[in-house]
Amino acid sequence: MRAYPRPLARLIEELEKLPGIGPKSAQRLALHVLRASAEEAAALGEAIREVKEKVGTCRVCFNYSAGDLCDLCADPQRDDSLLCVVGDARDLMAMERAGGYRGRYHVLQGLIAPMEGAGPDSLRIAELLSRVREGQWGEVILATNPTVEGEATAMYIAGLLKPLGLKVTRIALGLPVGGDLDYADDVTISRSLEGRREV
Amino acid sequence: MRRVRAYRVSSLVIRHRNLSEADGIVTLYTRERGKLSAVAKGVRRARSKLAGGTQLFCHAQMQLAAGRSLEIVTQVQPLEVFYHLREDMRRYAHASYVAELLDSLVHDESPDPPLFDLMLATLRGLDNGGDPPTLVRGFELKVLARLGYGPEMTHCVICSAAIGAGKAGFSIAQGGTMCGRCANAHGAAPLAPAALRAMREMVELPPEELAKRRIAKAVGEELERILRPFVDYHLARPLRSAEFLGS
Ligand SMILES: [Zn+2]
Ligand SMILES: [Zn+2]
Repeated sequence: MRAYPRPLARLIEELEKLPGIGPKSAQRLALHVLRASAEEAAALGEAIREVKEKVGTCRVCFNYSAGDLCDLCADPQRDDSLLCVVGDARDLMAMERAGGYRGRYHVLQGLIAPMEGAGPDSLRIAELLSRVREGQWGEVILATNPTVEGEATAMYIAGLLKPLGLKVTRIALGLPVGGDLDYADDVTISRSLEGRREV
Repeated sequence: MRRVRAYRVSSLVIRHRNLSEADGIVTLYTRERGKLSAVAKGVRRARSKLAGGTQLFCHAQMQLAAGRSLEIVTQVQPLEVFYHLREDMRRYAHASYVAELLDSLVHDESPDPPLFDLMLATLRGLDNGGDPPTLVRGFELKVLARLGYGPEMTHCVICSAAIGAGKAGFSIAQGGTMCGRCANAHGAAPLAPAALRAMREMVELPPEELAKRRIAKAVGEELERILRPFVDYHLARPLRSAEFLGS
């Protein structure tokens, strides 16, 4: 990389840190930025700065949000009796993309994974419990991924919610074991939601 | 000598991570080749044929091919998915601990079929309702003994006197039991006769038998106090799942 001027080498280095970006892709992207117009490059830089400055998490559901409340929590049209629990914001987006679900969400911000040092305390489980206690929920749908981590997390949460006396369901695992909600097609997601079962 | 292009192994998935958008990377403990890492392509997509058998803890028959740096999973036939490990946080955490421990103790590609059988039996036991502390303490003792790090349990590590039923101690740094007198002189932690008996018995028992046993609570707690730091002593870094279990 020494052949490149320092600022270009620096951009390549930064891009290489991104997930799924190897040295070759980083080089290609950096050269693309260099060839782009000053406006385009500035817009990219500005978008990166803005996302860090303005996007935080919703204080209710822990989805990404530009304000105190995310658009989904602020929407008065959503069903306040249904709560869908997902692992991360990408899973929420996958559910929304699939359509058909009109309730609220709760984003755990991860899954329980002992080998990664991720315990229940590192997730938004305590917040989920107090939210469930305070609301008038008819059903909580556990929609974490059908992986070992997702299943274990769902079962753990089910154990905490059942004593509260409400209906707790798990999405149907017509979604293949090991699959990722985010990569499932919309029909698969809709079916898994329709076929959810009480746990 | 060139490596054969594709080959079959009996494998246990001891770690699973996402590699990219669609691919996963699994650390396998195989009966035929020991530990190795393999890429499972497209595993995160819905309808992936590889997803089921490359799940954490899964016991599977796998076909692998030699890739450029990592092996590549080409076919999987799941044999046991150990479903109950997902239903019980305690079992899930203990299974994670044995998997992480095995991963950190063994080197790549040094096959050890009895160690594979021990790991398989331990996962089966945890899945089948065996007592997690008994299975895990037994696993620790057996895996350490198998790799040559097992604690001394019959003689004093200082004066070589046989350890009888009387007072004894245990020293992590010295690698095992001490007679009462040496334990006093070296300030080693005391070791109850029941705990020592349990250790000796567990290291000898076939792993399938361990799944049918349950050590007394107090003995289990004493063994945990001794063996957890003893295990850590032989590791380069602490295990995350051990911290998880401790909390
Ligand atoms: Zn929200
Ligand atoms: Zn002695």
